[in-house]
Amino acid sequence: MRHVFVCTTEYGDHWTKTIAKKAAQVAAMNPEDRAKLLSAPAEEHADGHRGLHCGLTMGGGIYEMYQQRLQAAGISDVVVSPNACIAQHAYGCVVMIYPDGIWYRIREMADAEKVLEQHIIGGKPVKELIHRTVNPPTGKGVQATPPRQPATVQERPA
Amino acid sequence: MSNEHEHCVAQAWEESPPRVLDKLRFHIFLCTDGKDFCGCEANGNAALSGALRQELAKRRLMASVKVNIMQCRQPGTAGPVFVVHPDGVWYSGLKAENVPEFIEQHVLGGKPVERFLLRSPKPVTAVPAHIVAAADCCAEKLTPEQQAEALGAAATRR
Repeated sequence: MRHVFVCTTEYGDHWTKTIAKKAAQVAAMNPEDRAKLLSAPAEEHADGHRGLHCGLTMGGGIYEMYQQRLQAAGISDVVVSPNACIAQHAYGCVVMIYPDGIWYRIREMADAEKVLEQHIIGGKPVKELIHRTVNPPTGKGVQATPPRQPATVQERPA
Repeated sequence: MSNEHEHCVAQAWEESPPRVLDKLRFHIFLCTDGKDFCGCEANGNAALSGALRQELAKRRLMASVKVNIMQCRQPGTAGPVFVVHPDGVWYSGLKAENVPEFIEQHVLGGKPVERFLLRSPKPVTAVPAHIVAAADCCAEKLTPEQQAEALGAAATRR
C-alpha cells in the first residue's frame, strides 16, 4: 500500500487549529520580536524558511487532484494524506511517497500529474523530479548518538 | 552546517541537488488537527506529539527520527493514529505514557509494539461520502452501527 503525503500548509481550512496555535504563539511574543517577525519581507517566512507555504502555492490543488483522480480510477491501495510543513517549500511543493521513500519537488501542476501517473499509479519513480530519498527499511532500529562531550575550559596560565 | 540535520534546513534550490537522507531511519507522521474526521483529536494526540518529540530529543535521536504532522482521516479509529515510515507501520491508541516503550522497542529495537498496531480497521483510502457530507462527522458522534457501516463500505471498496 502506497502512502502519499502532500503538503497543504495554510490551504483552506486544512490546518485551522495548527495555524491558530501558531498565531497564539506570535501574539504571546515580546513586542520587539513580533515587530521583527511582521516586518520581514513577504518571501521570507516567519520560520526563516524561504518561499511561500505549499498550501498557498499548489499543495491544496495537488491534494484535491490526487484524491479525485485516484477515486475516479478506482485505485484503493493508495492513501493520500495532507501533511503540515516540512520546511522544504523553498524548492517548491514537496510530495512524499512511502514506503518508496521518495520526496519529489513539484513546481508545476504538470509535474504533479507526472508523479501521479508514473509513480503512484505506474510504480516507476520520476527521476528528474526527485528531491530527497530515504533509505529502504532495514528492519533494525537506530543507534543512539552518544551524548556530546562537555566543552573543556582551559585554565589560564597564572 | 552539520550534516546530520540536513533534512531540517532549507537551502536555495540550486545548492541542493537530490540526495539520500542517509541518517534518516524513521519518518513518523502523527495525526493532528484532523478536522474531526477521526478520533485522534479527542484521544490526546497533542500530548502524544509533545511526549514523542521530548523523548526523542532526550535520547538524542532527532537526527535519525523525524516527526511531522498529518491528517489521518480514518473515521472510527480509536486514535491517536500515527504512521512509522518507511516501514509503513500504523499505530493507534498509543498514549503519551507508552512513548518510552515505543522508542525502546520500535525505534531502537526495530520491532513494532504489537498491542498498539492498527489492524482493524485497515487504513482506508478516503472518507466515505456520507461522512464527508455530515457536518459533524466526528467518530464519537457516530453510533457503533454507523461506524461499522462506514468501515465496511471502505473495506469492500478495497
